[in-house]
Amino acid sequence: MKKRLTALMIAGAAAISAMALNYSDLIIYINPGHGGHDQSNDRNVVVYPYELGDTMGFWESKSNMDKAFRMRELLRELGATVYMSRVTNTSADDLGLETIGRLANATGADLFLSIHSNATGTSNRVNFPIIFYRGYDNEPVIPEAKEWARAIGENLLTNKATIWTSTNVNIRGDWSFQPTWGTQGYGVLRALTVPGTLSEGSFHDYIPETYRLLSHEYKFTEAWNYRKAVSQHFGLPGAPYGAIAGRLNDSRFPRIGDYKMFDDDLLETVDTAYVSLWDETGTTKLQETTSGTDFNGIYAFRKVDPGKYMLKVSGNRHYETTAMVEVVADEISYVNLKVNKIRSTAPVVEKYSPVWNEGEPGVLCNTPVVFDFNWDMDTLSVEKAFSITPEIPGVITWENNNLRMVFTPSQTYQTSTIYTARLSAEAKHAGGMAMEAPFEISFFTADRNYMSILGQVPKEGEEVHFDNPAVEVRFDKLPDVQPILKQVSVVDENGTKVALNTRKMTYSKLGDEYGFFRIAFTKDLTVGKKYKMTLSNEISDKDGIPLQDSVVVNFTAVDAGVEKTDSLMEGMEDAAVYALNEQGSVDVTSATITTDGTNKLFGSKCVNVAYEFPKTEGSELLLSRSALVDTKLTNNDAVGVHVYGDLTANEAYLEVIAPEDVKYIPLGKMDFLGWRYIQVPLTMLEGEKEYQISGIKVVQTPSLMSRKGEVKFDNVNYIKDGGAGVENVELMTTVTVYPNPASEYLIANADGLIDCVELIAMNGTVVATANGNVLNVSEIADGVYFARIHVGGATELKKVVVKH
Amino acid sequence: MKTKSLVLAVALGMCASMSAADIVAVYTKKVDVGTEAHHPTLSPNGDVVLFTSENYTGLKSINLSTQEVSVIDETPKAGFNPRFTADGSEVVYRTSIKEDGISRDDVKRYSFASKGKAQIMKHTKDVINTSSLVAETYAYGLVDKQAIEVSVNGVKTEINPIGYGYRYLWPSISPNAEKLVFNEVYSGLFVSNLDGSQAKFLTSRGEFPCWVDDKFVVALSTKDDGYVITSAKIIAIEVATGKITELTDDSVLVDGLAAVEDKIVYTTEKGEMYVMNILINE
Repeated sequence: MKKRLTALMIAGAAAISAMALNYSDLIIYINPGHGGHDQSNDRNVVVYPYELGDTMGFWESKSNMDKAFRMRELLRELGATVYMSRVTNTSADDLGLETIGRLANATGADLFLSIHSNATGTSNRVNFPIIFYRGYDNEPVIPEAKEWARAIGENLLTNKATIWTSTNVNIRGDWSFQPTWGTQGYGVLRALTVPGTLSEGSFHDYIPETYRLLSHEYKFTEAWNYRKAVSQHFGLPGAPYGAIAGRLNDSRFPRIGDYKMFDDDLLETVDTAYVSLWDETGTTKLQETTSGTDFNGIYAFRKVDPGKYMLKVSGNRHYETTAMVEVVADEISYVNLKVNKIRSTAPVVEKYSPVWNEGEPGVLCNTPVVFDFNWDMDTLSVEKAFSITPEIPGVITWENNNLRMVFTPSQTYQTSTIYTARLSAEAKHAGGMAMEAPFEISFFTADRNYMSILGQVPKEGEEVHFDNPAVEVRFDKLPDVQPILKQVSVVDENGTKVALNTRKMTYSKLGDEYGFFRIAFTKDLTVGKKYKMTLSNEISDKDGIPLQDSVVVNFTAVDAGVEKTDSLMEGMEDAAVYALNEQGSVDVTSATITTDGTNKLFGSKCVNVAYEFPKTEGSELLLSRSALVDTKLTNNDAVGVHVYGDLTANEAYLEVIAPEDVKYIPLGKMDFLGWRYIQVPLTMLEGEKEYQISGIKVVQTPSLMSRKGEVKFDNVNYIKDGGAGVENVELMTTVTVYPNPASEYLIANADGLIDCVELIAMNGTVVATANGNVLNVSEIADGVYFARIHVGGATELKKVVVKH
Repeated sequence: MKTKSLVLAVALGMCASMSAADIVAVYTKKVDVGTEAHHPTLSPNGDVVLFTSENYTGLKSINLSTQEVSVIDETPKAGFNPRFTADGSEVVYRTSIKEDGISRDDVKRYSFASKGKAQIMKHTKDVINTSSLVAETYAYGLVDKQAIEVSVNGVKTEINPIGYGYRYLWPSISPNAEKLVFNEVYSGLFVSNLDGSQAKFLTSRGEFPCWVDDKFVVALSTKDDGYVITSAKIIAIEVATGKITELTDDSVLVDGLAAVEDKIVYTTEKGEMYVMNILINE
């Protein structure tokens, strides 16, 4: 019993203490931040329809002052004494920060609030309150200031008329938040003897918030929350009445604007709507207002007795909407409503894509079909009503709150084909009304629906020099290189990923004749090891036209620079003895031959031939020596040449001469990149004659990538009686395959006897083999393949198409 | 030309040659008080400086001759507007307590001789005019009443020198008791007769105005961007002509000052205290 009495006494004392403080005891000092529509010390956010500098538009000074006025009204109504550092918005009223602090101290204020709104100062857009107090985060100069800040932060976040991008209570010490200012901090808080905060209530450069801050009703909600924070800070009772506020948005129509929007801010606001407050039964109207006029849809009833009510909203273009709301004392009841627009006409397609007219070039073979409607649509009925012929699989997506339908084909269209996309009259808008007539569009497709590979390194079965290797792929169009690094991979024979040096990636640029990308390996390859490179079929050109299939190639690392025991022909790497032979050349724009001490394979240098042709076909370059190479060559011999290919597929030759004869020893197509050893039997030389090397020749292979190149030569060996042991895969320039495309049989022809033909899929697997030169492809699936033709121990690859 | 040399000084610090300008800083010296110092108040003879923290918590003094620092009080608000008695032997200041979350101030009197202090006014919510407790001639800004209280030999009047509706801060009576300088927060710095007549505008920004003699007033001229103070310089204004001379530059942000005859004491936002000797060319 005694214990209970003590408890009652304590409770009684607490009640007496609480009763001791009244609003009439309080002095609150409010500083509306900034002032004077002064661009240098104010913040003007330009939003339509207001021009820069228009005082009717958003100015932080005005917004801050409006909030301060509302806060002063609310506090005075409860009996508090309130001072404001300014009550007009002129530059003269924008007091010095020291002066503001001094005034607050001199008036004997109990609490100080500087009202502001925030901006990111970047292109980033966010919206949440931040409240500052003087000091470090965990070391406020005046501890009560942090509590005062917390009360503000918690109350501001209760505002549901806005869209917060973060709902964490964000209170900071200004010394921690602005570390570069040292302990200078916010000037207005520096010399306060009372708990003071600077409130950045929301972000005024988040444009939907800018529009809200033009609403007096919205600013009232912020002021209400400041007032409520005062009450809570001092433990005083709140207002005996409540309020209702909220935001009106269209239920589906998007907000128009090229600024950042979040959540329901993506929806059109419903402005100037008639909002009325009725008794719970909806029979007696109690209050009425209209929603905002500045693209914010904000409304408020500032003083409502506690109880249950019916809210009715109607507008010229929207159906009436009602909602029940319960009001409690000292609370704002937020009622955000999405109202349905009156859809009074049948849906029609207002815009569409692609737009194609007879005689115009075909559209890209991956172009989506887009329909823009006048109303937001019933997606189910529209998707059911949609068709496209010739039939092609695809995905339908919706944008702009169902005002736009997009059909994206899952594969590219057939080339040079008329497609018709159609909507039957069963397509309905969200209000249930169907189209009055079917709608259709037709378009013609372009003659290209896949990106082609012109050349690549490594290729299937290729032996790649281990040192300083790279992946390079050339295309008929510029590739979209942004995702390339995720679309190319190389693994070793154990399946371990081999790293590519992404920082050393080079690629084609606008204006180049062909597209390419090149990525060096991070480390050298291991000689003798096998590798596998994969190119995803998601690799596409800049228009999104992809490769038809993924490409998988197996290759082996070799050392092309193994010293040979054969005789070295002296003088081959002396650049000074070579000169352009104009009579022997055809259409050469430029040619230079230099020694290269950097990219050599042996010794101190190699010879580098750089050339440029005017067109993509028809050129030949002959570089003649001023002195013949001493070594005498016969048709029993062979030469071995170390060549650095340039991936152009142009053909390289050594010119040799004998009395009354000139011959060209083929070194093969330069369709590889990096060093390779090529050994050539000299069977094409005439018997009994002795030849000497007199020059180097490059013959252009018609191709987009053949116009410019750079080929290097190092260590040319003489192999006496070296006709045996030929292992050159690039010599068989006479190998042909036909028909191409093939449907029943693929036939290979060559100067020599063809041992066998293999058909290799793009993923590297051998799908068919034939002894001899005829391969049955009747059971092979349509697609692109490589035919590997084996002739006399050598092989050559040919790209072929199987189509039934 | 008569030069009133108020200090035999060697120009070691900020120095300017005498010309048509009538006031120059001839010597500026940093004073080490062993802690941060803000909001200085000078004794009538200029020997002792009262100082406090940035938010007026605590009150200390330093004797500029002996460099002796004394702690007078350590409670909140003790440094807000303390006043010396006319002979400089005592200081009147307030301390603040919180009751139910609201501030109540009392007044204490401190004796430099005995180092003792005594409460002379109990805690109250009322705004306290400390000037009235130490002098019969003073001026005091009644912020809530939007007027200035002027007391001459104990006779008090309330004046509105530039009209009703204005807020006056830092009113100060000239040494010859003929003129009043004051800051109207929205309009700037003015000088007037003690009855408020013949108010004359001096400058738009002038905080902490103090008389140096009967002809010159020094004040703080600040600029800010709405968030931080970006510039705070000490200016001297010749009352008769309105001519302004800058006594400090942008290298420091001054946050408080006091002046007596030849001496200006100022503090910076970093809490450093400086004594500046000035020379007036008549």
